[in-house]
Amino acid sequence: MIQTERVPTGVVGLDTLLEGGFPKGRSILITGEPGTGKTIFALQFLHEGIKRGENGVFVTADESPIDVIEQAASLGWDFAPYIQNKQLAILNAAAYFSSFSGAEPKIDVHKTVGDLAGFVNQFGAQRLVLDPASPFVLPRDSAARIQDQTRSLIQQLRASLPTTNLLTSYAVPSIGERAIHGVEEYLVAGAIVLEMIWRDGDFARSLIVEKMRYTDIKPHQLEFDIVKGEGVVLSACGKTTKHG
Amino acid sequence: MNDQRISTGIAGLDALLHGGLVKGRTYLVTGDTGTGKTIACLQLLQQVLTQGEKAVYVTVDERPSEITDSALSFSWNLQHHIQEKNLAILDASPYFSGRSASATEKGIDPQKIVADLSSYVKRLGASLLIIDPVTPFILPADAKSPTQDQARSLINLIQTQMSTTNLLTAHLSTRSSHDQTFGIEEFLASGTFLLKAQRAGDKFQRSLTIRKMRSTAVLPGEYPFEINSTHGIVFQDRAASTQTDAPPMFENFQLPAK
Repeated sequence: MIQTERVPTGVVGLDTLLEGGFPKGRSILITGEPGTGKTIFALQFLHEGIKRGENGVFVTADESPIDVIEQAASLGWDFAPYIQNKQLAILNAAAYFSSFSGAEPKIDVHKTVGDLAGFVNQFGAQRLVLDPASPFVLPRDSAARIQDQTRSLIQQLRASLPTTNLLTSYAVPSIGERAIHGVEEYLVAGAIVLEMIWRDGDFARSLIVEKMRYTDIKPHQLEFDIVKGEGVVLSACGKTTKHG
Repeated sequence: MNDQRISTGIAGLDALLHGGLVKGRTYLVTGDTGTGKTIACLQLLQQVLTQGEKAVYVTVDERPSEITDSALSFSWNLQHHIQEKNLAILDASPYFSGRSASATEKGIDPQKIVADLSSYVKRLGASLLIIDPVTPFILPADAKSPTQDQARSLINLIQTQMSTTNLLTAHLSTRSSHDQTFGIEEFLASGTFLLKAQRAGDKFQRSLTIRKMRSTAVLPGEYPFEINSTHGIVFQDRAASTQTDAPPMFENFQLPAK
């Protein structure tokens, strides 16, 4: 029987549910509104990789690399030595996108992934994060075009990179449709939605695995906490299984 | 400290390289047959000659007359520069074709090769040295594949004995996994360019990949180009313009020095 190779996410409890982790070499989409934990999830994914000797590349399009490192530090993860030891690279695409100042950014998915692949392969990365992925596929253009670009991005990532990829995207509640979510549903190997829910008179964080190829998981809402030193920890099983 | 740069003669490429190649360093151009290695050499050569500088061009596979002919197809008249003693085209093929007899025993002695080259370079007062291709110089007579030692010593000698900017070419088949550049790149001080011609739809798309470029903030990327009969290698607008009016898409973050 052919077994799907798995890439552990580092999220205690989630890996068990995912039969070991994400399918290796594929793209997974995480959507959620600002503050729901997308970047933390992504950092945890890379941190887990580095602990296992897998190099990682984090592509940031909104936040500065310093902000990303500080966010990791706030969770108790010191990423600076990883960068020094060339286990982790943070590629900053923010300067590129901001340089257009209002004009439509020039996006060529072929060239983007080509440039990225050149770097990622040279770096020997096995995990790649695009946080967020939307700027790379969102020109001010028709929805059809976005869909083409997204398909092309995901196909190219798969064709030219050996990495397991984590793409993040905003949910856009006003439109009632997540920015590039809905498009990816059938393109990515997995889709995870992060949400804040109102429960017992307080906010709670929740995670829904909407889709995960090759994995027998029923969509249901999992509550989680963000814990210093551990990152995302599922509420139900986190504390009891983390040492197991 | 400011590096002195020499223009490659390829407009879009100079912009990417922040002015061109760093003077006095050694660069490698690799690529499959027909990808444009010799044209890239000729273009740099023409550019340097136009600036009033002098150059030595070492050819192995082609005869000097073939080199001047292909330059002429771009309207670059090298004959004139040869007469004016601005350019020497050295034909190394007799050395290699005669290898079966005398050179086999001795093998290839980088020390001697570089000493010979160096005397030519100095006599002419050249500031540019092109070796097209460099591979035969590092192929020992007794082995099918060149040794890294040979490559290392050749490049070290070139760098230490000459003050020229050096452009070396090496054949690299994309169809074969056997890497004929066998790590020349590792020993090169300065930069590597990979030329490709890939089928894109019903036509071929040429591209240049900057694999490594010291002293220059350039991310490895693949840049499409065309070869036309008036300018030689011409970077396509997209590559040139994205790079000139926008920063590179990905900027590798470096930790601030403590």
